[in-house]
Amino acid sequence: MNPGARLEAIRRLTWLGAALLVWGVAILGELISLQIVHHDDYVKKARKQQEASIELTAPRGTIFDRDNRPLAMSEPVESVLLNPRKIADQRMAADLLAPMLSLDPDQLYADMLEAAEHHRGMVVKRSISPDESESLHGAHLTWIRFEQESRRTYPNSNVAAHVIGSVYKGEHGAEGIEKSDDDILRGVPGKAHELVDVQRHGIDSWVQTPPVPGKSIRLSIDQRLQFITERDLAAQVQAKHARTGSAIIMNPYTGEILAFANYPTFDPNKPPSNDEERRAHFNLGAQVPFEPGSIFKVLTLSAALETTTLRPNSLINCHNGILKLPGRVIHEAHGGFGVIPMADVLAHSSNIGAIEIGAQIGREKFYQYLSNFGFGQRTGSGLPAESPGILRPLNKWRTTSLASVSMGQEVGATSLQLIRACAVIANGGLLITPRVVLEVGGQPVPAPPAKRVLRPETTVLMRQMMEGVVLRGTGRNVIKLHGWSAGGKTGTAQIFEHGHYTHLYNASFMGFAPLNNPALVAIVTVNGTEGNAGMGASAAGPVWTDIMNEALRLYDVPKDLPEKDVPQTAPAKPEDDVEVAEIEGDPGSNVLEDDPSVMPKIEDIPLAADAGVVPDFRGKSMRAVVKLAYAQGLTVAPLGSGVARNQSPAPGTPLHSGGTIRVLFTP
Amino acid sequence: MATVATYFRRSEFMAAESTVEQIETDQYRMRNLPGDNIYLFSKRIDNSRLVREADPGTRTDCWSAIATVTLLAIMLGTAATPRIGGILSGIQAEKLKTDQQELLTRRRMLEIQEARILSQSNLDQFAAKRNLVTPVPGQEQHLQPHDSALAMNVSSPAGAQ
Repeated sequence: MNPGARLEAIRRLTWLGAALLVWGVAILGELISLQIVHHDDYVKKARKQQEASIELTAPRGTIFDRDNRPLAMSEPVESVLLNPRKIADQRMAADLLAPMLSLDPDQLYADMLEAAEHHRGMVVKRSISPDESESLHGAHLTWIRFEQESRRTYPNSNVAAHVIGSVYKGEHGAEGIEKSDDDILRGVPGKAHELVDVQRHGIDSWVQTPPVPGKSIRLSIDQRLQFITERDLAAQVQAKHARTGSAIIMNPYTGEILAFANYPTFDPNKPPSNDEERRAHFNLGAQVPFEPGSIFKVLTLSAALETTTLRPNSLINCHNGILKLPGRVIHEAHGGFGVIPMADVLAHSSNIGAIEIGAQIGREKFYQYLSNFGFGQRTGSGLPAESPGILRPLNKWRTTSLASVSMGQEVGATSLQLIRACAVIANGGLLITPRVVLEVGGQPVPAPPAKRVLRPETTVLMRQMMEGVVLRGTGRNVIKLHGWSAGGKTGTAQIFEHGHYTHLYNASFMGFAPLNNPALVAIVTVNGTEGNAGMGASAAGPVWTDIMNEALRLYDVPKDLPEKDVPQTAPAKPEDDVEVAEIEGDPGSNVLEDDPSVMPKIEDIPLAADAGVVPDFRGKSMRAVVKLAYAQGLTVAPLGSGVARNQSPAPGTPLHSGGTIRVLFTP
Repeated sequence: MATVATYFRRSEFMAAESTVEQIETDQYRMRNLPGDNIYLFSKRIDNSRLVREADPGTRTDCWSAIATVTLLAIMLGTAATPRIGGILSGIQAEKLKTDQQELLTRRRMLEIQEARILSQSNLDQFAAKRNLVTPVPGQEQHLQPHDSALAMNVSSPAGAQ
């Protein structure tokens, strides 16, 4: 090869080598970029393509009755979501999807257009039915997405609704045990990753965070007894044209509440849509205190037996039915009594007799006893929004307050507080804590320790005197159990409204059975009765009799009386009930007007529209805000760009359906 | 040099050779191309009796190649089979998980349905339809009625309604 050709070859080889070197460097640079510089980004992208993140739902705990019959359960349901921007023909998609989900195609199409305009996904329908789910899955529509959700179901509808409560959006407890034990019942959702193929079919999966299901709760409520109690109470309230009613049956030794009924009631499967339905959600027996009237005389006489020398046969001057007090004159209804034994004061429910007994106890001691019985304090039953009732501090007692409290006025008590007081007499003097939760997650919940407030001998005397009410007193024609002895007390309290006492009554009966070894205590209150047929014995007594008969039979309580046919007795004669006192003079401010906070508030009951609260978008990027809103099916109107700084409505405010949340973004 | 043209026009050119004198006299005729008078002929060669000499090395090489390819295939298969098997098993496992979840969901719904059917209000309505009444005190009801128990199969006098 001549030198010229050789040089030409070397030159050409040099260029080729340089080109190869540049190519190699470029490849190396790209490799470094891929494998080192942008490694994490590409790993994320790869994972996004190959992996799917799955939220593992943690079902809310089941609520059982005392016999492990389910009262509240959660059922898995699906919601349908889609992104309209990923659909080529939205009109056709709406026409295809709407019939399968029983939706209006035009409305669905309009919603899809709006969602597409706002660059967001949309929830087509939440909680679809199993049939809808099956038809949608069968259609294999690749442009829709399913989201697993959980829906709370109450298979017994309104049975024990006030105790169980209800949940709203997101299965957050709103009332009852659902609210008070929300932390226990609510599970913690887990997270899993799934490796998918190009068709998004799962190849492998692994759990990152295991879900923690909510714990189940076993209540003390007996579903059978609860149903019977609710049925009988509702029938009586309707028959008496009364407003409301409540009834409680309790074990006097353990404080276990076997039945807790209120009327009106509600179906927890359906959230309330107006104020009237919201009022039906009040747990009247625990949340609404009332002036108890004559049933409070049980407390007066118990305190007298403990603190004075009075005994059941001690004579009490009832002043022939008229008693003058400073600024007030008390008239006993239906003539009144002269001098009668203390046992008859209770049996015939003499108000003047109770005032005389109260006067012998004295303000301080009586107040101390009422405090010991738990009046003016919450019982600790675990039910949310329980009212403490009203017991005015001693320094706020007026001249006639002792007389008023002795006959059950100027004091506000809930049915739950009253049945607890009755349980003290039934169980031998121990103040127990009413409770509705027996077990949490299969572990028994220990009962709080009881506190002695009466001597056992006092309770024996009280039981004998309360038997007198049933045998020869105000309850004699009504309280007839099938083979069990019973003791109790009637109560008829005038309702204070608009500044004066009306002729509407709170008719009550509380008592226990059997007499010597009481197995159960119960209280029935019918609110808003009228006339002589609306007195305690005639309005509340029949319900008490019916539910106690059923309860004693269901629990196989040994009978202590010979079985005999119970004659169908006529309702108590109006003249037999003397417990309503006619008071002349200025009644002054009523105790129930003292403190509005002891009454339940309707605002506490969320409406159906208030299915949730506005989430907090502040500090989030626009992408995160849109994602969060998409997940909750919300409409967001973004303003500006950057990070969310402000929003309207504010976070935490109730979320109304159809509302738009305006979010201001600034760099 | 033989060309395709001369090959196909051989007879024509052979006839022309005999009249070469005439051609030579034709002063306007083009002169022949170089090698225009050479003709190609095909000859059949019979090599059926020709026998190739046996080469023992070739057979060994052949078997060696087959063995190598087989070994490579086995190694590749051994390496890939668990991976493919894992993917197939994974797909099956995920499908089973989905089925399990579906069955759990169905069981849950059946439990709810059972609870609804056994609710007290439902049982109460059912009892009313069947004219069933709450037993009164003293009433005995024999599960297997017989003649001698007929008298007891009603409410006792104490609890008669």
